[in-house]
Amino acid sequence: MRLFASIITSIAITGGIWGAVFLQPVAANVTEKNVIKRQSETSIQSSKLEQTTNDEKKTLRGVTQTIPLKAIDKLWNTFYEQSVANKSLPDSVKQLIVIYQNFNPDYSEAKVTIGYEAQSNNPDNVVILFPPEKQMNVVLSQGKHTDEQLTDAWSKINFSKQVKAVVEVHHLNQHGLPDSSQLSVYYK
Amino acid sequence: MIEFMSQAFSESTIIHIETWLDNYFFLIAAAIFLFELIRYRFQHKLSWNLIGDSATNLVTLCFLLVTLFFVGLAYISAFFYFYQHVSITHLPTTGWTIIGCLILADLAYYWEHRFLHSNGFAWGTHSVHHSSPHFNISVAYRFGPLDWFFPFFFHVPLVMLGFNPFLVLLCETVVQLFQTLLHTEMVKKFPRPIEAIFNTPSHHRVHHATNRQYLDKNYAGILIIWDRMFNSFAREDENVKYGVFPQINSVNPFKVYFIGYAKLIVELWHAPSWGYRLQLLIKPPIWAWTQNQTKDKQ
Repeated sequence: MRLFASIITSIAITGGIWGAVFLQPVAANVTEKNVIKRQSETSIQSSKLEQTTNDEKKTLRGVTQTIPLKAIDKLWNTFYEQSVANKSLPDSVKQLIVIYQNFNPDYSEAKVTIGYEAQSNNPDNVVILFPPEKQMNVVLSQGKHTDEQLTDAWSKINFSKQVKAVVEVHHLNQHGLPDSSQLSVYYK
Repeated sequence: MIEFMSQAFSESTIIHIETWLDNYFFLIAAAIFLFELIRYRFQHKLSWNLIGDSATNLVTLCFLLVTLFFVGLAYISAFFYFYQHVSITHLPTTGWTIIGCLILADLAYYWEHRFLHSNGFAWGTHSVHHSSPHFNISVAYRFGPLDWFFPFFFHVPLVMLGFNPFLVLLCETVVQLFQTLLHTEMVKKFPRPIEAIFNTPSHHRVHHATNRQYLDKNYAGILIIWDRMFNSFAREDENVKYGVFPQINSVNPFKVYFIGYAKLIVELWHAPSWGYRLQLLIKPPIWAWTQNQTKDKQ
């Protein structure tokens, strides 16, 4: 084979193998330690999200940060420090919402917001675009679940489809602690 | 199995595997070299020249490690720069990705190796590796002064395609370590299916040969299929002689390490024109040798 043909063949082989790797089904691994990007600062700010038709705007008060999924515990701690420890969590709050959006290509990192629904007139609140309900697929229906069950539910998400958002809803008991949860996924 | 191959590995796991290979493979190579020395002894081929040549090989390895101490950080930093700013995506480091990266790293190595043989500038460093008149596992550790330089340009495209830089480095290492085991005369030929697909000691003896029909053949790292595909394959059909033209005939590690570029610099200095100088750098090394042979005859 001549040199030029060899190079073209090599490019074609490279494209084929790369394509196969790119299209492989990816399992989300919430305990994965594959940190690639630096964590952004924790902040309560308006998020800039692409709004597609029929997305629903909800105002949440809480924390939002782009983090590796394995660092979710840290964000929970931050939320508790800012809300619960400061006794700024209103008694009327009955559920906490965790929404994962803007996943990176290998689903190891996402923009995560932990908060509760609040009035839209407070500039400190975060405006989140929720996909329409008709796109919602319940992965784990509401009930008392262990952390392990919640983690297992993540593995049922089909990441080969494009995931728009994953939403955890934690219902609070009279003491303000989560006692039942629901996990849903929104595909594009 | 499918689930295992789809599991993502962390960067720290990849680094851990690379470190383990770097640390322990050398011990395996040393054990094999001991067997080779015993074999040489029984064949009455053990000589001071061979021992000196092997010691020289290890000294050139030390030269390379010292160089890497200074340039290694820049190398990996450049990889990460391309990964962060130029790569078209970031691929998850799963088992399938590792296999894909390994195959592409092997293909990249084929072209890098072919490049090293195809022009005077690159041959200046690679000729060091070929200059030994012997063929044993210590020759695998015979390195030239710029052996760290050229791999970057052939492997950075993998980073740009989205493979994690640490994974690309690991695959580069695996391709190199595989070839270490090929530098031996202890193994004649493997069964035909293995000889058909993989690079073997037999194929690599051909690569190191100075037999005319074996020049510039068998550039492969792990898979010999690239040579079969791209018309650079030759089968070992006769006894081979090792080394380069002209033979270096020295076990001085400094002479061995620098003679490739020393000769090139002398030739560049004495070149009759700038066009000739350019050809010395870009044409295959056999061109310069042919010019010198013609000059000597005249």
